[in-house]
Amino acid sequence: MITCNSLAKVYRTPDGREAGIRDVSLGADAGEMVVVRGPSGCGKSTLLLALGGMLRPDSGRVMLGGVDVYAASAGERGRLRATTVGFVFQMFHLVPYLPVRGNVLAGLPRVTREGEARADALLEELGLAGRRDAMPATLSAGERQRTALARALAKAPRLLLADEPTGNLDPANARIVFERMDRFRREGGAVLVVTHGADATPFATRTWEATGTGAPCGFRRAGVAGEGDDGATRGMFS
Amino acid sequence: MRGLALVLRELGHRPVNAGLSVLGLGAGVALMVVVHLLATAAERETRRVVRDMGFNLRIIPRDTDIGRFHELGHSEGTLAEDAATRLAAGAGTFVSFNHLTPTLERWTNVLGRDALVTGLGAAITGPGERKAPMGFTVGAGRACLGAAVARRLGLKPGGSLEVAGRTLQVEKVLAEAGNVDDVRVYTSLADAQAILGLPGRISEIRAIDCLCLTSDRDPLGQLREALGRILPEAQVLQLRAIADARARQRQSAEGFAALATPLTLVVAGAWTGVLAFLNVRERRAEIGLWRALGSGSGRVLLLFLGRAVVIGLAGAALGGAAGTWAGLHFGPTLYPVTSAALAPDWAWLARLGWMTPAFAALACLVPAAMAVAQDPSETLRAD
Repeated sequence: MITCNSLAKVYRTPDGREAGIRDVSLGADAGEMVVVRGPSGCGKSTLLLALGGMLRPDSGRVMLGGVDVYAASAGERGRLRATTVGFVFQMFHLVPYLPVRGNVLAGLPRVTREGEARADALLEELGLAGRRDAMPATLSAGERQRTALARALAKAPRLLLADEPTGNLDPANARIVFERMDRFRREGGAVLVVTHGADATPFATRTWEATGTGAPCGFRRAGVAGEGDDGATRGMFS
Repeated sequence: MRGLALVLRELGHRPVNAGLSVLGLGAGVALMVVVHLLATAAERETRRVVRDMGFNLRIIPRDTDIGRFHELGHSEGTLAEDAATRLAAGAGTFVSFNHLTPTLERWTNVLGRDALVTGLGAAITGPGERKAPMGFTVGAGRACLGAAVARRLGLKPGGSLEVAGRTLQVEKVLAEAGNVDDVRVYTSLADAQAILGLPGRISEIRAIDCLCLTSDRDPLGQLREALGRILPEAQVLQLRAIADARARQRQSAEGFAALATPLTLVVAGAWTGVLAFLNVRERRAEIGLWRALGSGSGRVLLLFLGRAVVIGLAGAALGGAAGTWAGLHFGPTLYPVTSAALAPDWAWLARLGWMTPAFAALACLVPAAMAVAQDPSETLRAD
């Protein structure tokens, strides 16, 4: 579904440090949940944004659904994001002036009857049906992230890119989020999660870890017990 | 969700920014409406006041002896009566002249005493203009008497007098003016021509100048140049004090509008632009999100320019209403003579109705471009 080869993106932080990624090659196929793990500041978000066509790398190539993302025009990349990729962010990034349902519908490239039905079904499934008219400011962190997840899934994407999706959630909400992403994977979608914690590991079909201690980082394949297991290790949320 | 609904929801979500933007534009629009209404009223008032002051141009035969002219108060020579119509037909005449009134006047004996018989023809105004006559008109067989003549002859409106064998009915007795008008007998041009034995002749064309230039800009030179092309047998004299007063008043009104308009545009534009910039800054994460959802530059640009257009429409409505109210409320105090003519200028308001949103969009163009140029990865990255 998505692969990157020799991906590098280095930038300077406001305090003058070098940050980003170097020589990263990884991928996620349909039916996979790939977890990329590393400490804060190791370039995980940079990697995710580069994979999602939001941040042009210094070098390397990203192929998404057979399309060379950065060889495509900005408009094509936008269309690709609108139709193929769902993003979930740690900070939720809900549109503050839209109610829950409006935020979910905002994820659709075009609001159609089918899209609305899918959005309503997701709200029901994620326990937000009673909050569909609530504004983001009145939601708990868990509700916000579930809304963001519903928005990412409403367009029926082929790839879900999640940046610390449970970083601000309690374990119960984190479990809801990962279980839904796992279901998306089992239904044939590809999921790529970047996280500094271990809470995604039980759901991972493959795991990558940051290498080295300094930035910019690279990533190497990690051997994880239970990898490839469709749910046997989810007990950590129980 | 459609763009307009998004814009309206965002405006409702940030009422302070939206309200201040609308207020700023509304204040600018209100000021422009007030300035326009009052400048128009000032112009109208000036016209009326100056019209009441009388003609400020006298077009007389070129060979007139100016010494005798000032001694008698009229030209001894004459022009053909059609000089006024020929002048009116000349190219560009009404750029310089208006209210062309063929006039014939001579001192003559009226019941044993000298009076200045003044025959007034129909005034000719510019094509398409429906101007009220300067002063008054006199019908055939009628006369308007200066105060001294009426007193001397013991005549009142409704009475009659005989001049050179012609009986004239007194239509009006003019208020005492304290000048030569007190010894005038105003008649129609035809009656004066018959009384004075000068059929088909006039002694001058009275007019008002339209240039409205103060003397430092040589209006007389321009008037003479215009007249010389069309009516070479005539010369023009300008009653400079009246002409200058008119020009100064009009220039003062125009000067105020010329200063107020750009100042208003700059202040309102800067105000709107700064608030739009703050709005863009506040919405950096949202812009990043729209990008992540696949929105292109055009959609992001439309989101912010659409917001500016909606604010502009609201500002135009608010400012148009407030400015019109203020103009109609304060106008009559400032311009009492023509207060009845004060009315909303719907054409001007309609123009502001589309110009204000366009102006607001222009003022927000730089902040909107900044929103488009913003790197979404900077606001979306968590590490």
